[in-house]
Amino acid sequence: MTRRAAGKSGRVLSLNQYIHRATLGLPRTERLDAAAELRAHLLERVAELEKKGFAREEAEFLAVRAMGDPAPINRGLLGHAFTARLGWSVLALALLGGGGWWAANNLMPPKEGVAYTGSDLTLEDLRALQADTNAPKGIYQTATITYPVGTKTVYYTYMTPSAFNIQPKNMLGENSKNITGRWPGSYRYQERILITELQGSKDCPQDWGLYANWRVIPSRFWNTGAVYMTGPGVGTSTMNGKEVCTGLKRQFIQRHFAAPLQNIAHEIELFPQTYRSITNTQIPFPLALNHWTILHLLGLNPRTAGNGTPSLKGKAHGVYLAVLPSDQATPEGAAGPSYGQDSQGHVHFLRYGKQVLPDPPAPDWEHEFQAVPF
Amino acid sequence: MGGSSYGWGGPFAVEWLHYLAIQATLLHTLGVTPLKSGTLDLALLASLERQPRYGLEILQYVNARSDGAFDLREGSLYPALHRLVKSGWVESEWQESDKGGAPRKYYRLTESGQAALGAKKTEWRSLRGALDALLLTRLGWSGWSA
Repeated sequence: MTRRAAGKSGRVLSLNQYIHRATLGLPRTERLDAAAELRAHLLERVAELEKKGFAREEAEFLAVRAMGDPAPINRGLLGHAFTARLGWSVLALALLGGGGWWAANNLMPPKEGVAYTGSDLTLEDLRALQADTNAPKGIYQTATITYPVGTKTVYYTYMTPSAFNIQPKNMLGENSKNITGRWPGSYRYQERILITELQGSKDCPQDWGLYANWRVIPSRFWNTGAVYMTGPGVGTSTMNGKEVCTGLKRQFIQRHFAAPLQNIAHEIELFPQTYRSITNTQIPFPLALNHWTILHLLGLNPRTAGNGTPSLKGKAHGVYLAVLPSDQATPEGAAGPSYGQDSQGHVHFLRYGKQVLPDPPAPDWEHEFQAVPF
Repeated sequence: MGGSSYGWGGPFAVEWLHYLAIQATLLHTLGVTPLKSGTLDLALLASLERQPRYGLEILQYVNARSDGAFDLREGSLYPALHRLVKSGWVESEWQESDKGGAPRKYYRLTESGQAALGAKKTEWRSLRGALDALLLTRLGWSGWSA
């Protein structure tokens, strides 16, 4: 008959240690009762052994050894397996971790703003591009747009020196579809945008533009499992089924993207054609309500000087894609945009239906650059 | 519960532990551990049938009566008694030691414990009968001769 002399560690336990381990975790009254009973048992055993000639220490050792491992006794007295504080701590941590993960996924909304995710295309991105026969080959800047809470309408624009186009999207329908089954306030409308530059086309072989593929990121809590939604039809070089020439000729290329908030200076960089500017942001760019935010900009330099020599003097022209999350409801009725546009292509007094909107950023810039021609 | 009233079991009840010990040995031959098959409760209840006993006394009684077949570890006794108390079959009481030593916690059967003991005895008899039929038929034995 083999009996473990002590706990799992193999260490010889004293009488007190044995009693402590065997009664660990019991409610105070029960613990004292069980401890007294075990002690009475052990002391009687020790006394018996001492009568047989064992020394006190030896008698205690033998008495404790005869009791066996204290852990199963402790479990038996408790009625469950979580006897040690460590066990409870692990359980608490697991519950906290699981609860935190669940809360982060279900209760916490995604971080608002424009998260640029480099040029790596996901499987869904590839599917979206494959579905669009107009999608050009090239390197795509990808981004996930998370609109701020309170967005009732999103206005999209594709601004070129020769054309201004604006299109609203009513969020009420999206929110009602996506909010189902979600904790109130945890949903944010999200879009995925894939942007690349168009180096001319069949209709506009000399012009540069932007191609954008938009799609709505469906909520995990979508009402039905098979809903496919297309994003807004803005930001491609085709409008109303017809290609719109930007009128933008290039000698140099400059790009930037930034939120055109007031009092924020925008750094505009100039790159030769071969240098691709792909951004990967850890923290999303801010996307403020009721402000135009440029998602991607293709600036071309120069404005051809009077003698026809390319020059960096003068204003740069460009095309950009921008969004305006508005906290105002989408205007009803068929009334479209109304605005005034000056000879420089600046748009003023922009309204959509009865809704007054802030002026979109100008499609040209006063900056001058030192650039490497390509 | 009076210590002098043994009910129908009477002195015969003492023999229960012998039966259990024999069957425990048989179960060992089948690879079944009797303590895991629920006989521990029956053994403990049976040990309390005649009189209240304290932990060490129960242990010594069971081990002596079963000739050590149960191999009842000292430590495992108390969780089992604890369980019986929780199920209401046994109640406990601290009493001063008659030898002037430390006080002892005595256990005694409750009424429901008596009923549970009766039920477990019946259950054990049918199990024993089934095992006898199985084992002894194989050996060509035709019945108890005594």
